[in-house]
Amino acid sequence: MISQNTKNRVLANLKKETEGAKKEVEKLTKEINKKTANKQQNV
Amino acid sequence: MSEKFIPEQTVDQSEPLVTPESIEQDFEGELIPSMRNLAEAAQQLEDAVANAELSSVLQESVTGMRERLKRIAFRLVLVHSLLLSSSSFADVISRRESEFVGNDDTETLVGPPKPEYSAPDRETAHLLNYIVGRDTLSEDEVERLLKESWVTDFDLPTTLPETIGLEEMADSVVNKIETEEDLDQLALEGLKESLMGEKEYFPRFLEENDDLYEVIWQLEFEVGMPRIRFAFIKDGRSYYDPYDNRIVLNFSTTIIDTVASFKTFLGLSLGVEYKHGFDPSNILAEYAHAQQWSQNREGYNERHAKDSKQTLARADSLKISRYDSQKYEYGIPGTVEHEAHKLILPQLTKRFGELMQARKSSAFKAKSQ
Repeated sequence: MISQNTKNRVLANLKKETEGAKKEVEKLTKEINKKTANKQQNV
Repeated sequence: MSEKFIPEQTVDQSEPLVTPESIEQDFEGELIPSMRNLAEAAQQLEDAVANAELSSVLQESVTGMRERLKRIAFRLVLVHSLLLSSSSFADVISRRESEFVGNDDTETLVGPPKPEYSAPDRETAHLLNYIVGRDTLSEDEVERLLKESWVTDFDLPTTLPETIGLEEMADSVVNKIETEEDLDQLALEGLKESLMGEKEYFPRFLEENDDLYEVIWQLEFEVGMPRIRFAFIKDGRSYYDPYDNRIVLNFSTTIIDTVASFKTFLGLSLGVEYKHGFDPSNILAEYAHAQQWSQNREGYNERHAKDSKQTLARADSLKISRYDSQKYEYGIPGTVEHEAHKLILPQLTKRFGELMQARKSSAFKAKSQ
């Protein structure tokens, strides 16, 4: 039997991980975009 | 009016259990938003990478991030599957099954008692009632059918002992695939898990259909009460055996998936929704033979024996299978197959349609009165 408490914990962890990953993707894409823009300026 | 007895709740309130409703809420409120977030993040990453020339350090970060997103997506899928397979899902099944046990209170609430048809052969009655959603396949039946389906799908040796367990059978499939295909250990483990998972999703019961119940039983009586059996048949073909007036229906073409939606995300399956239904075409085709047999048993047996000789001779001379050879007879007037499939089947199909229509019309009239 799965209890609500166990399941809520699992879901909360997943939510946290997803949000964390989303923030890191934002950081990473900003860096990629910055580097790409710099390269284009230098060309 | 007598007061209805409501059993006391025995669930510990400090640890409330997962219920079908709570799963639905979690799915809508937690899992789908997380999946959406993940999909947006993945899209954002791929858009940024599309036109960029990445340094090796950035390339490494992107690869790592892709892996991380995939891992989270995989966990989301797992949680989704675990929730569905949790006890509350089993509760839904057992609740559905208990409807067939017969509860007098329920009967009086939903209307007059429904007629109960029966056949001298108990298995036939059970399977006809299963087809119309009034009976449930037992776990033993599910295991037998599932094992048969693996034997036909994966071309396993039919010499495997009948007593072989489901898990051993799954191992046999994995061993066979391992020697034939280039799959890594992880994929093979996944295959075993997915085979074992098929048991849970096997169509144990179908949607209840009162019209079909009346019509299929009426036709069963009209064509001489043939025995009904289910099997997974290699060439996919149902058949009629006149020697014991028995119809063997090919399960995979008789019980069909009417809806199957595959949701995928980052290349991973997020779940499959099946709705199982009954396709009457197989049983009607075989009912045509049962009707021939019940109307003239000796004549049928004689013609069948004569046709079988021709089938074998044709198969031999044309170097084709017996099954392919028999197909020729559909077009040869005077043969059992031609009469059954070209002359009787269209009549039976028409009758089936008319009976169903009549049931629907009478139900509509009763409702509007």
